Amino acid sequence: MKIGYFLENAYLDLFTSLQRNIEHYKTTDEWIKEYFKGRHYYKDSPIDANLPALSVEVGDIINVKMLYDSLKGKLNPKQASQPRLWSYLTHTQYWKYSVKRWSKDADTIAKLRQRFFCGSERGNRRGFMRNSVAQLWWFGYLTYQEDNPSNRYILTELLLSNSDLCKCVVEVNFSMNKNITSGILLAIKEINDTQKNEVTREEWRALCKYINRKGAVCILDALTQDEIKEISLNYIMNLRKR
Amino acid sequence: MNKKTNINFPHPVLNNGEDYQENNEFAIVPDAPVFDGNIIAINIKYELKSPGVIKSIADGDLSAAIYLECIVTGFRKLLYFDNAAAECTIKVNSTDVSDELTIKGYLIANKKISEFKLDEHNSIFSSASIGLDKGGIAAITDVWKVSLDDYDPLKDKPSIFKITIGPDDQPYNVVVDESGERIGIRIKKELFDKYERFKTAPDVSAFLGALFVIPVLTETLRKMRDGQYEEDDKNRKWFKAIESQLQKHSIVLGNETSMIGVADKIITNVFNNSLDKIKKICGDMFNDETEVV
Repeated sequence: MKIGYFLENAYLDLFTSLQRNIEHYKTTDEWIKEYFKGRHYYKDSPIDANLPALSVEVGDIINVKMLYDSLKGKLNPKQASQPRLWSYLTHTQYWKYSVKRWSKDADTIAKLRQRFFCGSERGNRRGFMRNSVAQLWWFGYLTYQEDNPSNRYILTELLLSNSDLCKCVVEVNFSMNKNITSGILLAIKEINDTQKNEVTREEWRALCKYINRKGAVCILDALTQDEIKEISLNYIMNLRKR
Repeated sequence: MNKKTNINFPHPVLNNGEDYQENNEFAIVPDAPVFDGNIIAINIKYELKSPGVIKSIADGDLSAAIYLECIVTGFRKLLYFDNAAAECTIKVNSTDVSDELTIKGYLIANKKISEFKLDEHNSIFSSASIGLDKGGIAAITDVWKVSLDDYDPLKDKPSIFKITIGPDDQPYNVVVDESGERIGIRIKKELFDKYERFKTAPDVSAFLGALFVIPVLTETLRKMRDGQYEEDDKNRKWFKAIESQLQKHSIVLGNETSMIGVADKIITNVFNNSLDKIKKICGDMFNDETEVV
């Protein structure tokens, strides 16, 4: 099935009419077809995929696996950076899922823009990480381990084990380099697996800040995943010695 | 090209403030991108003036590299120059990038360098023992931004104008937004809904668009003539497209008295064409009536 996306004016209509449509976002009743009655509001993209049924009950990690698997090799980062694609899916196929998952939390226009659109009108990196459906794909994209056939989602599971860890790791400049994201998560996983105490919120926050600061004077992209992992391990272990 | 910003590096960085003595430089010069199917190729040269740094590259301590980033898609990539070459062609898949590609040049430490001391360093660094970690930045260049959607929108589609629905709280029915690559004409919902309904009728869209575009273009031309745009605006696609059309028609705005006349010229007789469209529709209506009679 071809995946659809909003036509620009339909998208802008919804984006700019949030205040007027706010009641719609409080119920799972579908309303988009009726709202655009008589108007062309979407188009089919060339992306052909059988999209899975997402469910709040199964949890984010299962939803990431289902969505990312269904789109793997079919959706590229450029397409995945189109707010009209994700907001279309959020408002149509995944409307019920999105309302159930985020409506309680999305009680302001700004929050609705994050969860049902992609933050700003043109979308931005943080927006893609917060849109109800886009975030599932991007979490999968950033943490999928092609070279770990026993569990390719092992780092996705760690990332989604705590919302604060997820935010710290994916909502920073360096997150778009999979080597850096994976290196940090591999270090945290190794400590969790081998040390008495798992990495705490304060420790991963400090680590992400440290890596971010290091990125100002050093090209992190010049480092391998193993080197980032080693830097991260050393940083946390040194932090524990203080 | 944007000027690099100063960062407080813990070590001397070529091109960063006065970390190096005068006459030491590192710069990159990218050519215009070449599009070949899905591949975007950009040839880049670098120029380096600093004997100590050149030796460090030859010794394998430092490497010259190009860092590419696309803010829209999150794409980022680091590509190294061959040690012996000061020129390389970078190739990027067009599915990875969109709108604009940021290009920065760096000299990067290939390994941990415990003592990074060169004769070219400013004397304030002479007494300190300074090292570089692997990946440490030894030189930076200005930032280049390469547009990936290079088109002449007045000549070819898409248009430099984008008519869209505006927020309810905008002060007027029609608001012009010049902050993007295209000039946004934002219409309040009630008006916009009417516009959308008419737009689907055959032959109507051309003069309906002109109805909004002409006054906006006239105002834009007046502001261009009066020098009211900032440097940022002058780099936008709509500004360049209008400039190129003015050049094409040998129009110097300062010599023109009627901006609406200029608008008519550069959109190629928009009034005449719009009236022809209206005439066609009205003619059809009259013909219908004639038949009934």
